[in-house]
Amino acid sequence: MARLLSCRLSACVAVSIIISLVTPVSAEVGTVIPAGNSPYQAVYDSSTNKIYVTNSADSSVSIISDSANAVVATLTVGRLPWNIVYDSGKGTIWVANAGSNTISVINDKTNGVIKTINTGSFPDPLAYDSGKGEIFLAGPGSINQSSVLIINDTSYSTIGTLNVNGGIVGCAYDSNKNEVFFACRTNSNSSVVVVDDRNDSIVSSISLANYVQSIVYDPKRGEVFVACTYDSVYVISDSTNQVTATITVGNSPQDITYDSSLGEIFLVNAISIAD
Amino acid sequence: MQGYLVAINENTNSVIGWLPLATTPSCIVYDSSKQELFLINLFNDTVSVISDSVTLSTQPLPTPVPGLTTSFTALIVIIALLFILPATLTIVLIVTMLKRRSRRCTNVDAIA
Repeated sequence: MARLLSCRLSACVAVSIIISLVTPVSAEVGTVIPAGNSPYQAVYDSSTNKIYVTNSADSSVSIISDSANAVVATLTVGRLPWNIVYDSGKGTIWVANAGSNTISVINDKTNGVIKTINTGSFPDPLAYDSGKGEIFLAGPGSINQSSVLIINDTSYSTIGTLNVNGGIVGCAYDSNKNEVFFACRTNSNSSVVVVDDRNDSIVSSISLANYVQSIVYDPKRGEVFVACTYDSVYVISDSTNQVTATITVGNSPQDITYDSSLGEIFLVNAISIAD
Repeated sequence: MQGYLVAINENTNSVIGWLPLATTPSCIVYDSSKQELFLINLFNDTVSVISDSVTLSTQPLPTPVPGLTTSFTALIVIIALLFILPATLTIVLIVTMLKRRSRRCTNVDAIA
């Protein structure tokens, strides 16, 4: 019996040693807030100081107060809510429900769903165009071509469509140039497609060497930061629509955001497994 | 799978530092009123809140950890050595003892 216990103890020690060898030191995070089932995307509402989180597996949105650091409400939306965007002009949150082919529009004062819009098929990334009061909804399409719906945020009606090459994985609105940047992937390459919102036409397509993952606009510098697998962030000037810098950021960038206070770009990476 | 946070200076386009995280978030959002970062942890069903002034490591960015296959292979070998081998030896020992006892019994019967 003692021998068996000794063996098991040795095994536990060995397993612990292996885990400690392959696992880096964990960070001490400030606060951890329980969300819904499989939280996927989020958006910050600067008017109410709340964070809206899509819970992809339970068809809901968790609303977090940034003063309480707690969930203050949970709303039911459509199936597979993935992407989400904040419309500062109307005080609404737009949730793309990929599983039910709809968009749920949430009023940020009442925290109620005020409109459900049918999108026809699979809605994905969203961008809010503050200049024209429009929502750009990417998604319906294939890996080689996507269609973009342009929706008026007052009438909730589709006022235009647009086709771009590749599957759209992210989009960002450039308030200085009134343009929307779409990060697109095909089977063989990636690109950033620039659309002028005055006539909803493509004005540029910028090829990138790596697969795009996420995109954010830096209004202070007039630049777009594009996070790409395997380990790069590309910086695109909105004046020239050219890549002006490539930053090595480590493995597998997942998402990217702009910090206007510090003038910094933050991104989250996955530690990849190499074999 | 663990991840890490990376900060880039928008003026120099260079990495300022990084911070290891308990998990790999699927999304990061900046809260300008509180100057905090909200990290959406898909695999943990949680949201982590980090100040944007958190102290970052300026050490070189993490390199890929040893491969999963290698780790599992090592784990399986160690488990085999620590559990399966002693168990096999014990079974062999018991079988040998039973055989000896059986032979002894046969011998006693033969003498009788």
